[in-house]
Parts: sequence; C-alpha cells; structure tokens
Amino acid sequence: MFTIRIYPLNGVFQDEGESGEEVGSGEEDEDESERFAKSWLEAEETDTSDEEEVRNTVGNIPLEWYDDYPHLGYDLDGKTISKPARRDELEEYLARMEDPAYWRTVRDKTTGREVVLTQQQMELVQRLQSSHFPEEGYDQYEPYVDFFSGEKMIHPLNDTVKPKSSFIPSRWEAKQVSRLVHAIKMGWLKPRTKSDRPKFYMLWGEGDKAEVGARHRMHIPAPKPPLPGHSESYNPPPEYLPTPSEVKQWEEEEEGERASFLPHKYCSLREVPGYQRFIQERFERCLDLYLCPRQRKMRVQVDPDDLIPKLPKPRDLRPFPTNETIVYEGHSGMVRCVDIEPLGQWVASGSEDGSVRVWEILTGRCVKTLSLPSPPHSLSFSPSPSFTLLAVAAGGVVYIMNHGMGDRLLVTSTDSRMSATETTPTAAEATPTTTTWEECTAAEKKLGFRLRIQHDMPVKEVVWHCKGDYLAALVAEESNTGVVIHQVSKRRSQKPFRSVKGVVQRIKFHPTRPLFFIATQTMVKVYDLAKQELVKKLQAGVKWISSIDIHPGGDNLILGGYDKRVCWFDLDLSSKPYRVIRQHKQAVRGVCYHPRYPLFASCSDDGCITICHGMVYDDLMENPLIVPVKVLRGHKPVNSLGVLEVVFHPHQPWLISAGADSTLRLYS
Amino acid sequence: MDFETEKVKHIQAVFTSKHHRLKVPDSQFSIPVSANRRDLSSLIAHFLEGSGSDNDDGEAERETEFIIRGDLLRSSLESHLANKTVSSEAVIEIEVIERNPPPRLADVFDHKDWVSGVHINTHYILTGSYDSTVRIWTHDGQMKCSAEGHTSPVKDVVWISSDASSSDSGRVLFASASQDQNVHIWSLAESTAEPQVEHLHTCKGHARSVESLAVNPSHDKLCSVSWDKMLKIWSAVPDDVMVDEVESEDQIALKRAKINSNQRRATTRTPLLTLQGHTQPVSTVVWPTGDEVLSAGMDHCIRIWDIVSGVNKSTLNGPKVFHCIHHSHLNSLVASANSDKLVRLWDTRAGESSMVQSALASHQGWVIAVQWAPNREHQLLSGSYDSSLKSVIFK
Repeated sequence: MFTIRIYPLNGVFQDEGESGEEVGSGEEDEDESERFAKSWLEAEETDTSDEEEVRNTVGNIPLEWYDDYPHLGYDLDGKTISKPARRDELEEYLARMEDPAYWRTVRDKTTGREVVLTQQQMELVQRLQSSHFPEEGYDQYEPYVDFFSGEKMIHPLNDTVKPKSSFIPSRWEAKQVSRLVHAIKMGWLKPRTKSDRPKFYMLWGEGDKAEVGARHRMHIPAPKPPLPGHSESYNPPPEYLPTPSEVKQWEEEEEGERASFLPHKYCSLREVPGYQRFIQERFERCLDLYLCPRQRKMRVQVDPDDLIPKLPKPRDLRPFPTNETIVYEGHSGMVRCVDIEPLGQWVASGSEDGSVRVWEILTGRCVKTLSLPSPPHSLSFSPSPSFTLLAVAAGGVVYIMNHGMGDRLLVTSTDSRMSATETTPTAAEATPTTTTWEECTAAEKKLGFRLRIQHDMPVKEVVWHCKGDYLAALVAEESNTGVVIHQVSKRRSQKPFRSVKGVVQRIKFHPTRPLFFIATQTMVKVYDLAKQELVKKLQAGVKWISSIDIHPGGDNLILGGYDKRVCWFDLDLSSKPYRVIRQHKQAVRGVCYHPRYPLFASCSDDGCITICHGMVYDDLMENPLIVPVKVLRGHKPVNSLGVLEVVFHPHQPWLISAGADSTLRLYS
Repeated sequence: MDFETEKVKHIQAVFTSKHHRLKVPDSQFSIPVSANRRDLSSLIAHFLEGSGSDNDDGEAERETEFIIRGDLLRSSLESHLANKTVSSEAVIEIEVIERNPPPRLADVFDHKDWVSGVHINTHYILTGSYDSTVRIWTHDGQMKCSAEGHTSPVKDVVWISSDASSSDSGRVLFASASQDQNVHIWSLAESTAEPQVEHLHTCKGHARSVESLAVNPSHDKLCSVSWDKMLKIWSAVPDDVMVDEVESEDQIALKRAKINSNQRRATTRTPLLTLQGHTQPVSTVVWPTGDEVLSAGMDHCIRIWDIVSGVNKSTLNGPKVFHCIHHSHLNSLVASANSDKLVRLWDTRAGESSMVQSALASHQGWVIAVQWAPNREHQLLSGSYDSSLKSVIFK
C-alpha cells in the first residue's frame, strides 16, 4: 500500500493572509472594533464552510471492504459518501495517451479521488526514493551549538532572584523526619534492614546436594561424567568422523585398549539405534563410584619449623661462659677432681700425680701443693661458712684438712673445734669396724691435715652435707652399698644403707632437705634420712650413670651417663627423665649446676663442655626451660679421656674444668 | 714513562695539622692511591726537612700518622678511601698528627716471684710480690731495700706520700696489702745513706685477702678493699709518739731494734670507717677526690661512696666483674678493666643513669689492669691476660 498524505501548507497561509488583509484594509472606518468582530465572525463562518468538504469517517480499515459498494465510508451525519466515478478502460487509455500529467496522477485511496502531484511533491517523492532527507538542503552534520557549555561559567544562566524558600529548611520535612524518628524510637516503625538474601539466587535451591551436605559434613558429590562432545553427536562434523583406516585399526584393537565409542554419522535422529554399551557403561560408572570412595583427606599442612619448640636465642640467655680465659698448669697427671671454695677465691684440684693443688682463681697462681701417698679421687670444700675444711679422698683414706685460707678467725676457730672433739671417747664405739678415725701426725698437721678416716677399701667419692658437719664417703665395696656417713664433730661413722642392688656410682646430699641420693648404674634412689626410708626411685634414661648433680632449688636433678647422654629429672613430675640431651660424642664424665645462674654444664671424654641454660620456674605449672647455649672446647683428650669434672664458680658465670691433659681451665 | 704515569691512579690531597710543630706544606699534592702511611710519612718528613730549619735535629726522623675522614690511615690510601666510600675524584683533606714512638724496654727489675703491685714516685719504684715482700727500687733498676713482714702474697702497694721533700721528717710512707688480710704501713727513711724501711703499723680488720689500696688526695687516709666485701678507711698518718721516739733515740740502736723485732714495734690500727654494701668481693678502689671513693668488684658494679657520711651515693651497674678501675683527673672519666676483652670508660658524674661512654676492644684476653696517663688526657694503658700491654689514645 502506498499512501501519501499531503498537507496543504501554502493554502492555509494564503487564506490567513487574505483574512489578515481584510482585517487591515478597514482602517479608515469609524468603528474598528465592531468591524473586527464582524470579520472574525465571518472568518468563523468561512471555517464552517470547510464542512462542505465531506469528511470521511471510514477509519483505519482495509478499503477492499468497500470494493463491492458504490460508496466509500460515511460522513459525520452517517450518510454514505459515494465513490467518485471511475473511468472506464477507454477513458483511461485516452487519458494515458493525452494527459501529460497522467504519470503524476495518483488515486487517493481514502477518497477514491485522483490527485495530480505538484512539482514540489514530486521532488519530495524523488528524494525519499533516493534515500535522502525529505527536506531539501537539510544539513545533517551542521555544527551543534550547545546551549549549556561544558565550561564552568561565572555568571548564572538566568538572573532571577532565588526564592526565600530555597534558603529556609523546610518545616514540613522537619516535621516528617521528627515524626519518623519518634516512631522509630517508640518502636512503631522498624527501619528497613538490609535483607541478607542475595540479589540473584537459585530459585530451586541447591537440590539434593545441600541436603546431603547438611547430613554428612564430609560429603563429596560424585564427579560428573564428561559431557558429550562433537564426536558423540549423532551427526558429527565430517572432521570428527573416523577414516576407514582408523575404523579398521579400531576394530583390530582390543576392547579394553581402544576408545569405547566410534563416531558415526546418521542422517536424522530417527535412525540412531539404541546404544548397545549403555548398560555396561552405567555398570562401570557405578563400579567407579562404589569402588573408589570419595573421602576428604585430612592432610595436616604443618611447617616443620613450627613443630620445633620456640627456644630463645642463646644471645638472650647471657651470661654464660663463652671463652677460655685462664689455664691452670702445674699438675703432672690428669686432674681427676676439682672444687671451688664457697666464696669463690680458691679452687682445689686433685690429680693423678698424687697431689692436691690450691689455686687462686683470678690469677691462676698455685698457692698450695700437697702431696698425698695415693692419688686423690675426690675432694670437696665444706659448704659451711663457719668451717674452713676440705675433705680429700685418696686411696682408702679420707683426709679432712683445714685449708687455712679463709678468715683468720675462722681458721683458728675451726682448728679449736677440731681439737675439742679430739678427746671425745665415744668415737670408737660408734664407728663401725670398717672405718677408723686417726689424728694426723705433726708433719701432716703443719701442711693442714687434721684427721684421716681410714677405710678398708678405696674411697671413690666424698661429699659434704650442707651444714658442714656430716660427710658422706662412697667406698668401692662389692657386697655392700659402700656409703659411709661420717660426722666430723663427733668423729663417728655409720652405714645407714643396707645393700642396694647394683653398684653405687655417685652419692649426693640434697641441698636443703634431709634427703640423700644414691645413683647406681641405671637408677637413682632418694632416701629420706630423717624417716630412714626410700622415698623415690628414678629410672635413669642412661645405661651407666657417671655423675649426678642436684639443682640448688632441690626439685630438679641432672645426671650424665657413659652412653653420651645427659638427663634432666623433674623430681615432682615423674620418675622418668624430663629431657634427655644428646650433645656429647663421647661418654659424659661430669655434670654440675650453677648455684645462682640458671645454667648447667656437662663435660665428656671428647674434650667438650656443653653449657645449657636450665631455667627452673617458681610456678609449679611451668616446666623447666632447657636450651643448650654453648660448647666449650680447649681440653685435649688424652688416652681417650677428656674433661673429667666441671664445677661452676659460686657467684660468677664462670666454669672451671679439670681435664685429662693435666690442666684446669677457667671459662668465662 | 708517560704510559706508566697514566696507569697509576692519583688523588688530590691537602695536608693539614693542628700541631704547631708540624708545618705541613699548604699546596695540593697528587698522591698515588697505592701509597700507605709510610710513604706519606716519608713525604711529610721530606718537606719538614726541606723547610723546617727551626726543628731540632734529633727529631728529623720523627714519624707521622694520618687521619682521613676521622680514621687513622692503616692500609693503603685506596682501600681506606674505599672503606670510607670517598670518591677518589675529590680533593681529600689529610690531617697529620705526630706518631707516638713505641716505648722501649729500659730496664728489667728481677723478682723471685710474681709481681702483683707497682707504684712509682719521683725517686723510687715500689713493687709488691707474691713472695710476701715489698721491694723498693731506684728508677735505674737497683733494688734499694725490701720490706718483709707479710705472711702471704702481697696484692697491692701504694705510696702514701708522694715525695720525701713533702714530708717534714725526711721519710716516705707507703702501704702494702696482702692476702694475709692485713694492710701494712711502712716508712722509708731517706735521710741516711742507706735507706731504711720501718714497719710502722699493721692495719687489722679485714677478714679475707686485701686486694687493693687507695690513698686520698691529701695523703692522710688509706682505703683498702678486700674479698670480705668491705671497704675500710684507715688513717695514714704515723703516730707522733713514734716520730718523737725515732728522733730521740740513736740511729743505730733504732736500726738494730727494727731489724730484730720489726713486728713487735709495729702498732696495730683499727679502721676509721668500714663501708659495707658490696654484695660480692671487692677487687679495686680509687680515691679521686677528698670525700669520694670509688670501688668496684665481683658484684658487677662500681659504687661511689661518700666518705664523710659513709654511704653509698650511687651505683653504676656493669655487665662483668671489675678487675681494676682508674680515675682520670684530666677528663674525670673512669676506665675499667672487666672480665672480658673490653676497656670500658664511665662517666661517674652522670649519676645512676650513666652508661658506658665507650668500650675499647683490642685485647684478646681478660683486661686485668688499666691506668690513665698522668699528663695526657686521652691516653690510657691497659694490660691483659693475653700478655700484652696496650697504650690507647682515643679522641
């Protein structure tokens, strides 16, 4: 359908111009207004004459419907509008032949009239046909002048005065707000909370997956089978189809090795046969799911470094001995035993060459040399501040000597006390048969020796009780325990312990309580001296105990073994070692605690001394902190014997060691 | 030749000196970077010889040291500049200072046993030995006399009055401390042809070996420290009665009596004041001013005592055991020898909060003794268990 609406643009203007002329022509008449009104009325009337042109009210319907009728639509009054007379073929022909405007005559379908297009309308049609803008000379690309420029301007676009309301906060709004606030306060109104429902969500939920997940926390959904691709299509693209040679090869291959499916082309879905391997594939999949249970493996991702307990750095645990400072040379045999005087000025050492030497610690000067008939095995300063006594075990004799190096008054008072007990006759009665107390000869007395306690077997060790009156000696006896406790003030000896299983290695008094420690080869037994009973047995973690020391606090104990181990026992905690330290390469010979600093040391036959930080806390819940801090070298092993004994300085972080290379060394 | 000079790198340097006796040339030098201290020293010596007619002839071979950017030149210029990250393009200012000649061994004083203390006055040298004897030597190495009276090794000796001329009676007093827990005050009579030592007093009171002695600036009091953790102040003025006695009696009779019964004639003295406060044995003491005594020991602290009131005014805590401290009158610093390899310098005026001013590290073993130079502000001597004695000049 081709319809063209033509708007009579020029005609309207012409009409108005005419009427305008009419208005303007009657200037000279007397009553202008009257005439103007009249003309206006006339104009109204002329407008109504427009109705003479019949307005068709046919509406927007297909006009073919009127083909069989003589009329075409209805006017406003409901009367039919008759179609204009149509020319017959002959007239049409003649018109085509004669009428020069025939080619531009078109029929208006709505009215059925013929309209001759004007020149302008023709041009318009031509422009539209050639896809141009209907308006002639329209420049599509003429520069656009923006009314509001992007630049910021200093003047307002209009200079109207702003209304007062724009400066005043709205009272109405304030009222509304206060009403809302009040409602919220009273709880009538609840402020809208953000809904936690996501903007987009699965309408039907997660399905069975969510349900199973809620029941089984460790549920893992079955892995989905791979989706079919192009090759599984019933009509795959030709590049997916196997060549005849490939088909042949596939047929030759065995069932398990070849691909389970060969692509095949069917013209339509209808021709696709039933899949023969369907049951088998289902079965295999069920087998896969059943035989390969899906389990979440709880693999612990742990950094190996985190498993090592966080130990403080040795740097932060100072002070501890770090360097060899002084070497005490003078002995000709290996130094077996060493002990420091309680105030820390002197150190005594006993050597295999049969001499006891006393040294000044700070200078390394040997101030005394005492020769003994047999090499001393053990020596010990009396811990009591009111006695200046030194006990030396050499062979089967324990010598008690006044070293005479403390306060003059103390030295003399010690001597007087020793001589005062000389006369007590009870000595002989109380003494068991195996030990005899003897007064030293005058020559020996000049050297400092006061008493000699004769045992029938060699004495291995001698230790003082903290009060300084009792002295325990360990005698190398086969049958008995060999522990003899001497009382110096009364010159008595007693053997409080009956036979102990195993050979006794070391003995020790508890620093504060009346406890006595006996270390056999694999066990440490703790006896209560007051109640005379066995209190505790400690299972040593070593095969052969070589040395033992008790923490000055009294609740901890270390022991060294010939099997290179050092064990720390917490006496309150357990009868098993709290910590085993394997730092030495050779048998451990000696262990000792520092009386003040949280340090302990162990020495071994490889010539090394290991210093460990061993902090014992007052808090019973906290376990001791043990950190190896330093390995001290310096002693050279002689005859596969290294350092034989170590002892800490009583008030400085210094260590004195006795080595098989016949030297003592001070480490500070 | 040209090729060679091009190859060796040179730097531009200007020499300066604060010392008026070292007249260094003002001009700018071009010095090869491979030059070391000796080369520069010979260069300077060459210029000093050329210009310095006013210099003494004896100091012609005087050696010099060089400071570049605050450090002594020890290696070659190249490596020194590389360490300091100084561009070799710039003109480098080199400060010239006089080199201290190393001390020469002048004499050896033979003792039978270890020497534990030494003190020098204008005429004599006093030494204390482990053979319990105090000996007096002239400065040219001859033993004048010895004083025997101690029964244990002598640990420290000190002249009480510095010079015979200062005391009216023509004798010099000295004191010795020993491990036999006594301090002996002796007098040395110089008036006779043969100097005589007389044991004046035995100061009894310490319970352990006396380690160190100090005399107050007015030479009338003595302070001793001991292993019994105490300081004791003794009067160092001899009893006048005795002085009269000496003058009234015949010289020979006196001599004989003294030789026969040295001990008997000596009177026993008790301490004027006992200062208690150290928690561990005290090893060293100095008496810098009239009413202030500094002591230090094995409890890792220097304690400053007010002698008038007898209280511990302040305590400087150190990290290690103190073996020796010495106070400098010139810069008021206290140098300490600790049980490690460092010589520490302390400013006692700063009070409790004072820290170590600096620590000089050069020894390999424990530093055991330290002493300030009496007339040079920045020089000190330190002796160590590594068998070395070092003289340190610091800036």
